[in-house]
Amino acid sequence: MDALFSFVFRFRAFLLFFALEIISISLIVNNNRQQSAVFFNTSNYYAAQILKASNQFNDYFHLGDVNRSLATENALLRKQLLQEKQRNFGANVRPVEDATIAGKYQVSLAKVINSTTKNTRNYVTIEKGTLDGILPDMGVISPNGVVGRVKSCTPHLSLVSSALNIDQPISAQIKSNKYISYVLWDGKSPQYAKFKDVTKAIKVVVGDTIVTSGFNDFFPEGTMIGKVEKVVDDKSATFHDITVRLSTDFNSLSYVYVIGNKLKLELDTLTQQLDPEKEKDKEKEKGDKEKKEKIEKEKKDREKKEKEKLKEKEKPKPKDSTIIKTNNP
Amino acid sequence: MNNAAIISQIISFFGYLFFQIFFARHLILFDVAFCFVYIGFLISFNPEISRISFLLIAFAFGFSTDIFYNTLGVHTAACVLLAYLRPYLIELMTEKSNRDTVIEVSIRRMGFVWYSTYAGILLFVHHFMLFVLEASAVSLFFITIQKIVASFILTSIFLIIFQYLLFPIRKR
Repeated sequence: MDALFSFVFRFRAFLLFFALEIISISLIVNNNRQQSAVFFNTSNYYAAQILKASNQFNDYFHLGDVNRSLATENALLRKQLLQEKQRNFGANVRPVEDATIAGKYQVSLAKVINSTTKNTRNYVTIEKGTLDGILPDMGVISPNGVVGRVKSCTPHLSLVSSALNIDQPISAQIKSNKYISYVLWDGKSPQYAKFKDVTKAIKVVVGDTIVTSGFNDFFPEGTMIGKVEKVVDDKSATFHDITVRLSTDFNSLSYVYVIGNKLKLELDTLTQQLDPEKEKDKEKEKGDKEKKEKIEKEKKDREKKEKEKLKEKEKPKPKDSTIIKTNNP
Repeated sequence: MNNAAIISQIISFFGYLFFQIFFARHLILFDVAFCFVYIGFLISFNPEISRISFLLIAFAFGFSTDIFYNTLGVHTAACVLLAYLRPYLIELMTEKSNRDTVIEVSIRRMGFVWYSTYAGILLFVHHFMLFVLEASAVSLFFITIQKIVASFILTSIFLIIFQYLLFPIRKR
């Protein structure tokens, strides 16, 4: 026993070093996971206060105000546009009058207080959190195109894992021929990403527009990602090597829109029923079920509240239209 | 370490962190050259401190930096490695008879050549660990090497400027 103690004492520096390295590496592994609610990042309240102070040096005071009003207006317009798109979708067959589908996207504006573009996994910190109805896995877009996906939230702030992340593919399609594959950043320049796994049978031309596909629940279908910059065909490769110039300028993000899909919960429950592997997981996590149910209840309550809010907002609209109608003749 | 030394170390802890978060964090040249001048704190730390407490300080320092870089664990691991190697390096680079005279690690005390060799080795180890952990993908090998070399050059320039600013050489 004495020998053991003397051994520990002799190598105490090395053992401590080893322990600390193990801790740091487990932190890295945990942090790189897509879903991880880690509080030690820039969405931390105190860290964000410091960053905000730092951010104020960069913002011209009055320019910020102008920007905000313009961006709010933009958010409203974008919401109307999305609703219109959903209404017109399949309009030849029959008019879609289901309000829940037509208004399934909820758009909220958020100010960016920190963003990186030069790491291999880049994050954007935005000044809105769970209190503003933001939840993990919501899509984030800028006026120009896709930005990323919410990773974790605190009450007032959220951390968005941006499209510039070597672990995060985005389901995408070529706008002209609807060929669906995915866009993944290669970790090099913040202006370019790769459009992957496109077979050589598909013809891709420089200048083709790449947009998000309808196969994800984060972004509305048809959100701009970028344009094809370069197509390289290696004879031995089975796929095209396509470089896409991203339409979002990640270096100058100031305001972004967070897109919430109200039907996501229903979609998730549907896909879970179809997926046998997840059912196995469910059996394993019987203990966690109660917790999950609680969370789902909370989510549903939140959705109900949002719906009520929406209804309240939508109610005055028909009145206005009737007034206009009566006035016109 | 007396009280005055402890207070000056605490001030430099926050001073380096402040400079890193507010200024050096935004200084990235040609997409590859990062400025991690914050490790000047660990490199020129008072050498009288025990190994154990220095490891713990390095852990806390790396962790605080990580919070602002959104890379939890990466800077921590690199800083702890640097802190573990530093006492051995100082031992290796000073003669036995002079070992007790190392009371301040700076250009003014130890000379330019000694300091640059010492800081260069630690800097390289730190940057190597940092970028390898940060990339964590074999496909990014060449860009990682580029980042290591470019950041090494930029950070060492800043470290030397800091040395002349913080430890001015007085004319006799």
